[in-house]
Parts: sequence; structure tokens; C-alpha cells
Amino acid sequence: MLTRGILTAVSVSLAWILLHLLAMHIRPARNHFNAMLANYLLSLPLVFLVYRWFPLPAEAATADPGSFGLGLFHAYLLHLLLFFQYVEFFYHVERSVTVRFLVMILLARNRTAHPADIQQDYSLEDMITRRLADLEQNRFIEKRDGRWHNRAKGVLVTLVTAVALWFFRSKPQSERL
Amino acid sequence: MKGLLISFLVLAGYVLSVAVTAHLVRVERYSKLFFSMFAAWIPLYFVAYFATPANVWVLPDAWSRVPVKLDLMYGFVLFAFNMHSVLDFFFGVAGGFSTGLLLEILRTRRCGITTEEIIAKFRQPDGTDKIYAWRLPRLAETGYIVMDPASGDCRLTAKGAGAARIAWLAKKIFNLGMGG
Repeated sequence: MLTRGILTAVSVSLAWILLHLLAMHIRPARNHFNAMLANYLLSLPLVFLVYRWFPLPAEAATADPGSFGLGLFHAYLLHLLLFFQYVEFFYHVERSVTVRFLVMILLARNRTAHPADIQQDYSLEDMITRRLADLEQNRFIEKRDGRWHNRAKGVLVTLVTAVALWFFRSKPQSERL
Repeated sequence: MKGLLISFLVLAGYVLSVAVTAHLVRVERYSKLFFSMFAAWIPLYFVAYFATPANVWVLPDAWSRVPVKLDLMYGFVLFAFNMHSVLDFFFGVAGGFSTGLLLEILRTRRCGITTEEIIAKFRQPDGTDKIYAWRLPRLAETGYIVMDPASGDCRLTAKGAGAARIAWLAKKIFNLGMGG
């Protein structure tokens, strides 16, 4: 049943990810995380259906007995972890400042760029302004009288961040230099 | 189920060992710490798997009847996935740019902070940009770019070009802009 669970999780994940990629080209989402989450949640009933009727060869079924429920648990668990991996990969590509630098140099003439040219195209002000706009859109912060304040969601994330920084004895980006 | 159980125990050990090491020694590059600890825990996963009985003293017998190789590799893959998630949590959340902004805003308590004041926090006293000041030299240090000492120009190495091409292709597949 572990075999059935693994194959179910992989096949359903591949299917919803492909559909999500298609949707990104046909009708790009404004909020990428909500779109990915919605597609993932819509795929959950499919996990049960595919697991129930997955055409496993008799040999594989005999070699891997076990309860229906346990195999289904593994299917849902692996499906969830694959969702996490997909979201993480997406944000590596979309959000990483360092990745953007590499791509900007790749697209520059002779694949060479001066830092001043990179900064002109993508300044510190651009980075921060864009992020503040995203945080506001996603209701982490709000502007009152021209000043930014955390909303409850922002406070929660910040507290988790502060605990994690203490736990790993690290510093936020503004303090790294 | 044994592979799953062992993988979560090993993951807990991995996370704790990274944290303890970070508190005991001065860490210059956290990526090196995370990856070297992962490399150290991989053999421990396999040792733990083979050194323990099929039911790990606690599992019902019915849960232990799975092909050993499949269960072993399944647990290892879960460990690798979860390690990647921990790494991303550290760099993306704990050390992320956006969460850094949230932290700066929270530190002002009820006063709040303007966009200009936030930007000022990411500049050194001499006005240089804290983000560019460490990222480009770090890319050079890790072999992705070469910085010409005379002109200051940044050129991609083969490693950097490979990474950049994969990223560019991924942005196209996701139908994204430049991002960042």
C-alpha cells in the first residue's frame, strides 16, 4: 500500500502542478500563493479517488500489503510535502534577489554587467517599495498617516521570525553588514 | 511507517544540531552549516534504520510489513524534502527580505515607519547599499560571478551561467517577470 500511496501522491501532484502552470499562462493569478493553495486543495479529493482505483500490477500489490488507510495516509502526506516543495521552488524563482541578479547579468551584453547598471535597473528603493506593496496587498501591513504598521498577521509572522533568528542565532538582512 | 518515523526523528536531530552548532561557533555562511550537517545526518539515518527492529519497538506489526528498500528510500526522500523546507524557512522566512521589513516595522511599535526610513536602514552610514554590498561579493566568493578588480564589472562563470539559465527558464515556465 506504500507503493500505491507514493504513486498516487506523485501522479496527482504532477497533474495539479501541470494544470497550475497552464493556468499561469492562460490567466496569471494576482496572488500566486492563493492560486497554488486553491489548486492544491482542489486536488485533495483526487488523491482519494486515484488511490482507490490506481492500477497497480498484482506483483507490486502482493509485495507491498498493508492497510488501505495507512497507504492513503502516505499518499496525503507525500502529496502535502510535494506541495511544499513546489511552493518553495516557485518562490526561489520569483522572489530571490540573488537569482534576479544572475538573470540580469545573463541577459546583459556579453553576459557582463557593472553593479551600477544593475542597481540602476533594480535599485534598493525598487526592492523595498515592491515588497512593501506586496505585504500591504497580502494584509501583513497597512499605511496610516504615511507610516507603515504591522497588522495582526504581520505581527505573527514577525514573532515567528524573531524566534527563528534567536533559535539559529542569526541576524535579519538589515544587520548582516 | 518505519522509514517515516526514523526520518522525522533524524530531522529533529538535524534541526537541533544546526541550532546548537550556531550557538557554539561563529557561523559565516549558514548554507555551509545546513548542508554539512545534512551530509553528516544522512549516514545516521541509514544506521538508525538498520540498527532498529522493523517495528521500532512501538509500531503495530501490520505497519511494518512494507518492502524494506522502498520504505528506506521513502523515509530518506522525506528527510531530504523536510531538510529543504527547513533550509527555505531559514533563508526565506527567518532571513528573508520581506520578513526583515516586517521586523523593522514591528520594532517601531506604535510609531510606525515611513518607506524612506526603512530604506535608510538598508544603507550603511556612507550611503552604500547593504543589499548589493554583500550579495555581489558573496556571488563572487561562491563562484557564480567574477568581479573585475579594475572595472568592477561582473561576469558570469560557467556555474553562474548555468544557474541563471535554469532560473530564466523557470521564470518563463511560471510566466513570471524578473521578480526579485
